[in-house]
Amino acid sequence: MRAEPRPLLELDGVQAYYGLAHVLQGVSLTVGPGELVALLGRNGAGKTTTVRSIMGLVSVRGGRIRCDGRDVVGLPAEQVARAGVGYVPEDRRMFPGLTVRENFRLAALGSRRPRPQQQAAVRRVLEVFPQLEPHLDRDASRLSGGQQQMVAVGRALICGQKLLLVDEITQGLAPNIAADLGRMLRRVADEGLGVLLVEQNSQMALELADRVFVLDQGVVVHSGDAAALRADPTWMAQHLQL
Amino acid sequence: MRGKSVGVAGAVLLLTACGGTVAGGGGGGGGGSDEPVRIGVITGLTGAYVQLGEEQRNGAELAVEQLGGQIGDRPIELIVRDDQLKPDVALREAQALVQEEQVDYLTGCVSAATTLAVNQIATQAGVPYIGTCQTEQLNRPPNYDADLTYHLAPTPSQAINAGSPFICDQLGRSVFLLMPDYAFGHEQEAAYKQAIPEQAGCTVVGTAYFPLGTTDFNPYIPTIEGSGAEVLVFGGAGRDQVSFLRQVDQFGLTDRFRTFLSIEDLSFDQELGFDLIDGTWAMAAFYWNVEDEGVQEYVDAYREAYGAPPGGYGVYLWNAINLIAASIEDGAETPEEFREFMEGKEVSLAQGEMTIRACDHQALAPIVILEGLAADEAESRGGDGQWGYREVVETLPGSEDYAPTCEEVQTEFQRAG
Amino acid sequence: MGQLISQIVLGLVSGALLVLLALGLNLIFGLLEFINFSHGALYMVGAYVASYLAVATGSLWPALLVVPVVMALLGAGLERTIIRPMYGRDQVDALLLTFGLTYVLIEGVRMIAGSGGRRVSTPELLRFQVDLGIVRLPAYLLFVVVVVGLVVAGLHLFLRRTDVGLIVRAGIRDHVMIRALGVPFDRYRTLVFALGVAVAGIAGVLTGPITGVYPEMGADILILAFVVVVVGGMGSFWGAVVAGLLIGVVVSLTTLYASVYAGIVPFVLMILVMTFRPRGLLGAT
Repeated sequence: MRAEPRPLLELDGVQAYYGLAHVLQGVSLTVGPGELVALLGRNGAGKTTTVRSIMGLVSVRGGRIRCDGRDVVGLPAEQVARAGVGYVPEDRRMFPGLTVRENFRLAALGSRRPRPQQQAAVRRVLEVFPQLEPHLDRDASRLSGGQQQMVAVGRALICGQKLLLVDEITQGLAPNIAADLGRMLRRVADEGLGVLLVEQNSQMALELADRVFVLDQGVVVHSGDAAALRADPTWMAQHLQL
Repeated sequence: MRGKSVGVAGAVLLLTACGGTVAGGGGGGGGGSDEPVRIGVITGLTGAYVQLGEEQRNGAELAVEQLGGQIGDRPIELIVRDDQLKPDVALREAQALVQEEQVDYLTGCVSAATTLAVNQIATQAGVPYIGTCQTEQLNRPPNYDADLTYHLAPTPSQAINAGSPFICDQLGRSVFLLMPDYAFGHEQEAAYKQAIPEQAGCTVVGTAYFPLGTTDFNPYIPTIEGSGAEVLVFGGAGRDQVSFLRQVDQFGLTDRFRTFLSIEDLSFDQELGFDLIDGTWAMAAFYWNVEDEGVQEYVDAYREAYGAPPGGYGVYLWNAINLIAASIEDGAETPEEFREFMEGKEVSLAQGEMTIRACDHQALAPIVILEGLAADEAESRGGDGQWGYREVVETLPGSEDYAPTCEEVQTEFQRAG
Repeated sequence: MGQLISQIVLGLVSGALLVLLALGLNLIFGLLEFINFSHGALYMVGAYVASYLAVATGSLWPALLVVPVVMALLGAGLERTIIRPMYGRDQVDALLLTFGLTYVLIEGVRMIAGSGGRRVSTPELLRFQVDLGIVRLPAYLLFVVVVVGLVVAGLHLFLRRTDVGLIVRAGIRDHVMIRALGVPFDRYRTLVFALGVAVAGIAGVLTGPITGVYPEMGADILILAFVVVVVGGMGSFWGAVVAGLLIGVVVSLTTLYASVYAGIVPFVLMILVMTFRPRGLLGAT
């Protein structure tokens, strides 16, 4: 169990709609520094909407969201990002036509750090993903799924210095690549960042995570310490064989 | 995610189809001897010939003002509408003038395309219509209504029959025609192709059409240059003419071809810039420095009212309204009495000596040939340093020689039934 | 053969100005996601500003520098005030707004400058023709082609080589993700709108000596520029360049063989492209 002096991310009773559909009906969760938190649940439970509400991409109609102590409800995405939040969207969202280098350059510009620090951040990402080095000048949207996912995480690491929001990172990837990415996220958390991981692959998420929240129909139906839950086969069966 | 839709694209195209403004106002009421005389004017106040339309409005308003706003005891109500040069708009506006405003007379038009539409409504409603733009068709079957249709502008063939001897004798014997692709242009082509070969040794060596509203004449240059013509006759008006003359000047064609404009108007010259008129020739039914008492009276009044000499299109409206006024003062109240007044009328108004012949209600009025001069030459040759450098080099009085004879017209009417 | 080549050359020249308008329209469409219906009217305003400047200074040259700046400021002002509230609404809202703006601009110019057109003289320096062997071209048209080339190259370098250009290119692809990377996107929307309007202004300056300036001058050319954008591929930079030149050439060749159809050929081309290649010639898939 890790110490949680002040959470990096704090959701308190968040309500959100998609049109008329009441998708989030009071979601509360926290992510602390150095902590990897998994957000689990079946399709349509509201996991992606939770992440999108944090990023300001879905309008929040009730509750509070704090990033690093700052209230971000109603802020545009770029200001949430500037609070130190890196976002890895569900479908990777490479900018077609932009090279890997340009993707990283964009994220560096968005971070608004001084230029040397921007360059250092890009170098660091290449240390984490050395396999991207030979592809730096290729159109990122034409790389393999795994490579695209690395670019997406790399981008998020460059602009998000405190918290990573990672949505369905392993979807459609080969198991060994998914596992690599998972280990990388664990390492990022171990270095002190907070990571909120939305994941369909509950088994893998449970193994990586410090804590787990399970969403169903827009509310958190269960939460707990991942280690304890891993040791509890009945809970596994009950909540994760969805 | 993104939602670029081509549906929006379609909406753009739709929206462009309904642009434009509608000018005018109006009154209402019935007839009677101290009731207002309601005159509806439909002309192009937006579109390629906006200057002509505005001139027509000016000419009409000037006439009303000079009449003191009334004819005898009857106040004049002038209602001006914009046809946007579109036949459908002209139909709608004419309908509105006839039904809602209950006008007694209709007049105005700058485009052959709209005049037939207005005439159609006028003849259905039994209201006299006085056409004021160049077309062959207005007073020919099936459009002509002997009780109601009049035409004050020359037909293209009248002007072209009058001007062709000048083209062939003075400018050159091989002619290229560049014509606007609508009725007016096609009528001109037919008239030139008949009149030019009648001059000894003179031929039409090529014809090209351009769409109304063309701004880019580049693609026509190689064809013109390859035609081997000596004379380039341009049948377009308004902005088409301005763009054309600018571009042929840039290409240096005015130095290599004698450029002749089928239709001249001061407003085009002004917009063009008088420096580009030099070395071109033109034909017109009116020019402001024609030496004629009636013309000059009108020019003086127009200059006083609008601060500039008139172009050639306002004069038709001025004449039309003065003819209406004269007929009412003469006791003509009904369309039948108006017809009696008009048929065979010989008057000298702002176009000079004019006859409205009985057989087809066509005005026979002078045609002038104009030469564009350089600025320094202009003032010494009757032009004006400020208002245009064209000299009237020939005046061809209104005459049946340039129009089909009344006998020919009768045959045509009989053939059409 | 000679005539065919001159016809093609002249078509390319005619297409050049179309390219300029289409590029501005396309840039705005790409980043702001609506069709700026007022683009033609703004082009017209640029041409009028140039015509007044030319009279005041006795030359067209200052206008070539001043008008883009003035138009960029006007564009930025419009974006900040009336265009911005349209973001996030239906695309048709912005279309209608700029449709209204078009008529406000046209009527405004009519009120100030009258319905008649104004003339802009060809610069003294360029009143001659250049014999290219097969075709004689006015020096002024060659100058127009050069300026268009410079603007295209400048825009290309701007988009490819600068950080702002990178942000614009990314924003054209995905303006949600770019915000999520911390880029304050609204600022770039203002900039791109201003840039597009400035380019329209340059087109307006260049057109003056060719056709003169008049209130409705933007109406027909807007439609053609729009056709160019669709044919080239909405949002595609080189698509607009290629399609602009292509339409110039196709119209020019049609004029040679069947001048009556020259006016409808661009639209036929658009229908064909929309039917068989809906993304446009160079549009992204």
